[in-house]
Amino acid sequence: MHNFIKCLGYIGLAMLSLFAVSISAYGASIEGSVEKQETNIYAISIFLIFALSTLGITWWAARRTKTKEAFYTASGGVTPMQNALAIAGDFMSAATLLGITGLMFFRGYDGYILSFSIVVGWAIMLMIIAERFRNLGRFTFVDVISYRLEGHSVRILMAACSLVVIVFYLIGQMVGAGKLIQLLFGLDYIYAIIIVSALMVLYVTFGGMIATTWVQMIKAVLLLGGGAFIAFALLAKFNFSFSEMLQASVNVHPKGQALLEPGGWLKKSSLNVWTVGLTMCFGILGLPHVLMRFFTVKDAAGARKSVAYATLIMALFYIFILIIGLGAVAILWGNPDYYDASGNIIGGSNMVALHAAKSLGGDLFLGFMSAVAFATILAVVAGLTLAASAAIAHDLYAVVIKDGKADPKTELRISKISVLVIGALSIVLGVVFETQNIAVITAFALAIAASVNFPLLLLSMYWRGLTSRGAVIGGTMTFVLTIIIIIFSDNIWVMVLGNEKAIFPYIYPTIFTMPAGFVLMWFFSTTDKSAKANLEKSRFNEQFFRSETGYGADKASKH
Amino acid sequence: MIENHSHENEKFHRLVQMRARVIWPLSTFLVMALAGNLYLMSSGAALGSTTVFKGGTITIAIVYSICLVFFGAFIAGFYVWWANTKLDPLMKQVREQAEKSGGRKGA
Repeated sequence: MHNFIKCLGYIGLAMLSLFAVSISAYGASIEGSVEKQETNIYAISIFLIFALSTLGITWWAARRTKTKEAFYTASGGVTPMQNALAIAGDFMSAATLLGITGLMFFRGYDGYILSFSIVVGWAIMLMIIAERFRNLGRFTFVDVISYRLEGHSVRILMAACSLVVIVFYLIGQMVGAGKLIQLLFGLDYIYAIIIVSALMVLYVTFGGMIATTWVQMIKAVLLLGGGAFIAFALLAKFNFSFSEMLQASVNVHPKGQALLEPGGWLKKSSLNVWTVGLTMCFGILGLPHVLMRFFTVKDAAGARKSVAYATLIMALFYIFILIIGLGAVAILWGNPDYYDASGNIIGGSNMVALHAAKSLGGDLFLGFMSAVAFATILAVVAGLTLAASAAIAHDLYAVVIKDGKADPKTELRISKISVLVIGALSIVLGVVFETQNIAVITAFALAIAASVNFPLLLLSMYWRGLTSRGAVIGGTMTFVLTIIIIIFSDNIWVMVLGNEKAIFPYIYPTIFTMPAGFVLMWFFSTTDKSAKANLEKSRFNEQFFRSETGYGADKASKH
Repeated sequence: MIENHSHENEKFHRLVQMRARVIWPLSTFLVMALAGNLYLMSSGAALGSTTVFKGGTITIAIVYSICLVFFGAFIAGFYVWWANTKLDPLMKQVREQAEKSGGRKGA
């Protein structure tokens, strides 16, 4: 009973925080308003082919998704290369393709911080997280954290954190989808997000992790192909000279040479630069929907190979992003075909990559890239929804409420109901957050992941001294601190609430909240002298052995 | 970060040490390389803004970032090769030994 009350408390806290941010975002000023465009028949045709193919795959996957193991983790039957493509497909989101290229187009080189920090984060993920994570868990990120920690409090806290991170991420994707479809498919924003939500619910409810994996794989291949085409076509326009392309961009951009220099976005402010870099690098190490993918392979070696291949794929993609973000300036800036009557780029800052596609490959290629971008969003939201349903049905219902004795069929049913609820919620949030920059919204998710999830994951794996008290009190305090600072930052306090000056003057809170997370978890663990704490510490050797060798993990993962 | 345990299993000790000797220095090196890029965007922005060739447009910051992306990919490739060839055989031996003795030794 006590734990149940705690559960309600934590969920309430998480929801209140989220609600505060949601309300404050309502009525935000529009950044680059989106006008509905003429219907693009190519985009619709190519997207229909994608949607029909993936629905066919979902039908096929549905026949193999009868158990909760198949639903959450594809029964561990995904190969490392497939998983690598799916991880890359899961992570190369609309925020990457549309948000970063848009940021670089307007603000210059500084936007690239969102890319190179991520590649470093993935390489670190490979070495210190991936294999141990696979060895310790079964279905969710929370399984790993709570491996040796007593009670349900940790699971409740982490499930709430997972849900908040997923919801923020989901908002970014829904907004991207809505704008994209409004711009290119000639549909109203609201219909656009309803279509995304409906397809996402179909993929996940019927096809579970198998369908989600295939959607992500197909999308990753299409996105890489499309990105490669734009990058090569751009370079080809300048005799394959990167330098010549940049010179052309500098010549037309009002910033001139400053486009290629640091300072266009983060104003050379040390704290801003460092906080963004840390958010991107360490945020990915705590993203539940990405971490969950490590359970879809047979063993730790499979997880290792998956992450390594995924890192290589993403590094390649981020090189394309650099070329597209800076090179698009040379062909689009000031070009009346891509600007509206008031002098703003059509569709707003998130549409630069797609305008570049049209300029380089005509309407057919624009149609292809639009369909790919839409597919990108679908693949990512499917992964997010699956992770959220696992957090609700597995972490909260099966383990906390039913104390690990839930009927698997009921758990599976609750997972599917959760998917429907998340589908409906994503439509509401997509409308509420319509006017926000999707890269910024996604970065909020990363800030929470870097400040709460990552410290807790690292300490639980490597530090014997972590106790459930340290994890719960330290984690909750860091979570609340992170949300408060986000509300007080420029993006919410000034741009949304309309105040003159931000109380917290930096973009993201991570530079303060991530160290705070470590310190708070350390402090509340070391001061915990209870018998429970001693029991938890005594279990560390067994956990450490399993995390290093995989001994015992094989049996647990034979779903 | 990794604490020393009184594990009796020598091979397990060797496994932990082998891995720790690779992952922590490489991770530290990567974080330092990232820090270098962040420096070029903040306190060291004057250096980051310098063009690589006189009269050219490409700045040191851009070149550094491209190198960092390749470096991250290279480290990932190296680690997976190293772990597949050096770590996995030893890990297999430790697991087999644990299975023979019916449980983990030395905890």
